Amino acid sequence: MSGRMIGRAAPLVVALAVLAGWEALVTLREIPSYILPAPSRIAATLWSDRTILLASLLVTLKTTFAALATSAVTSLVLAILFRQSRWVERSLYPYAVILQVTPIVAIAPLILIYVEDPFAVMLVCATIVAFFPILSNTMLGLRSVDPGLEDLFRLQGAGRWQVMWLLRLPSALPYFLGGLRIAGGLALIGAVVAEFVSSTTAGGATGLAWRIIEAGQRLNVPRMFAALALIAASGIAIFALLTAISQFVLRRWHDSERKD
Amino acid sequence: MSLLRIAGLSHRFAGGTLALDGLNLGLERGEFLSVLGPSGCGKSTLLRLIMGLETPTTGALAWAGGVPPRFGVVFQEPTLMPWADVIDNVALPLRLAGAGRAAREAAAREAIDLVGLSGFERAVPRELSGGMRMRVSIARAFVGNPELLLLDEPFAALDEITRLRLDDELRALATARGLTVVFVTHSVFESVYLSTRIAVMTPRPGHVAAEITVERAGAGADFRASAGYARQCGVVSDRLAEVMAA
Ligand SMILES: Nc1ncnc2c1ncn2[C@@H]1O[C@H](COP(=O)(O)OP(=O)(O)OP(=O)(O)O)[C@@H](O)[C@H]1O
Ligand SMILES: [Mg+2]
Repeated sequence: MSGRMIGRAAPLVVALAVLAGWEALVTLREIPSYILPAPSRIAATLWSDRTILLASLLVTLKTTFAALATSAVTSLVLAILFRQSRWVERSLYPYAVILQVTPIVAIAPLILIYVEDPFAVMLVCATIVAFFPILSNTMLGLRSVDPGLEDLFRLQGAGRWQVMWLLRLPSALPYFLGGLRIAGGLALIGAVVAEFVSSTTAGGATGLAWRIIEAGQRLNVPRMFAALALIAASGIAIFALLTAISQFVLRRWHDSERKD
Repeated sequence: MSLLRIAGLSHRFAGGTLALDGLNLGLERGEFLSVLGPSGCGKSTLLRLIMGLETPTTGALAWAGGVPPRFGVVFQEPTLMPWADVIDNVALPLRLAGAGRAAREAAAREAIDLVGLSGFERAVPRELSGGMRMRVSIARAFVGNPELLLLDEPFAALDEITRLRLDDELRALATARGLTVVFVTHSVFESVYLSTRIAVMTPRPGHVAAEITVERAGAGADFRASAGYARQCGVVSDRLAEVMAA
């Protein structure tokens, strides 16, 4: 029990030590806050600018979750289609790989030209960044079926779609959820990058990335750090949320969630 | 009355392994046939050919009436869906056949009761012991009211005590329902205890080298304790040794 407590506390201890060192460094050397703000100053900024920062946080989170949902649905549908038809897989899968390996900052300017709605631009960008791990994990899951169960389904005269719904999809669920966990962080990264790229256009996003650029132009370094802290905290929260969902869904049957 | 005639059956796998070579075997309705042979001699392959999961390279399987009967199968592993509870696992054959929920549940409960798992309907496989999982698998084989039961070393991974009990349960069920059973095993004792007839296979490439009829008459209630049982185990053992040496 004490071992687990120490395990939980260890990252916190590291964080506290780093923050204390940082605070001491800034105070002793009298570094001005427009070069490096002390943690206390960042915390104060988080509080004083809370209205503006929270509004931006909501914008970024909205993009992130919309992109995550879009990725999950498209990946699932594509993975099922790929499984059911080898021709569909052969025709489309290479493009999924190409989208995955091409840097989003190179694609985004193009999307900006063809898509008008700023939210749609960010949604498309973040989805492109996030979907691949779900797709490839789900495809792997749909293939990773107990061969004995496959034989059994065949013996009982199961049809193609019965095998899909009753055998392949449940077998793929842990893989899908694993992909979702990776995609959560990627969707956030995609949303932030999309904001950066589209910030040059008027009437663009007003998310956290945009706040960072804006604050940078005004040399408001504490607010840059405050926005950055919010992005990092969101990433951790999204990961924790998706992990909890996965644990809840798989708690009864899957080995990965076994409590020993 | 003959249910199945297997004649000149050979099976070569894609990799080139000749698993079965010139196997002849008949199966009578209502009999309990054990297929006994050393590891790797092609017992599982034979069963998969009977199930129709593999197509023979040469030779033929001729079913009475031209079509295979309804069969239930039990593999060496329980082969359960880990995400589904006992009821859903047992009811799977009915679900795949398109039966309604109520009918499925009723039949599944009956089969679960048959193997003594009442009270565990809502448990998932992970919450069951190895022997209980095997019984779920047996219940699933029974749920579709099979005429022919095909079992591939179903109890091989279990401890002796559980295994003896499941042997008894299986025998009682098969007798009560008048089933035809093909039971693959590499245990001489299990085959003598369970069967009406034993087919002894040669090492790979396998064929049936000897067929022995088991005599249970006059053994009393406890066949395992009878002198006849011990004597027949000796006979089967000797035949197996001869086949291995040949
Ligand atoms: N899918 C396969 N592809 C190629 N060779 C196979 C395949 N399955 C089985 N074999 C080979 O066929 C032979 C017979 O295998 P089989 O599984 O039928 O043996 P068995 O009698 O059931 O053995 P055991 O008692 O160990 O289960 C073996 O030599 C094995 O290597
Ligand atoms: Mg085998």
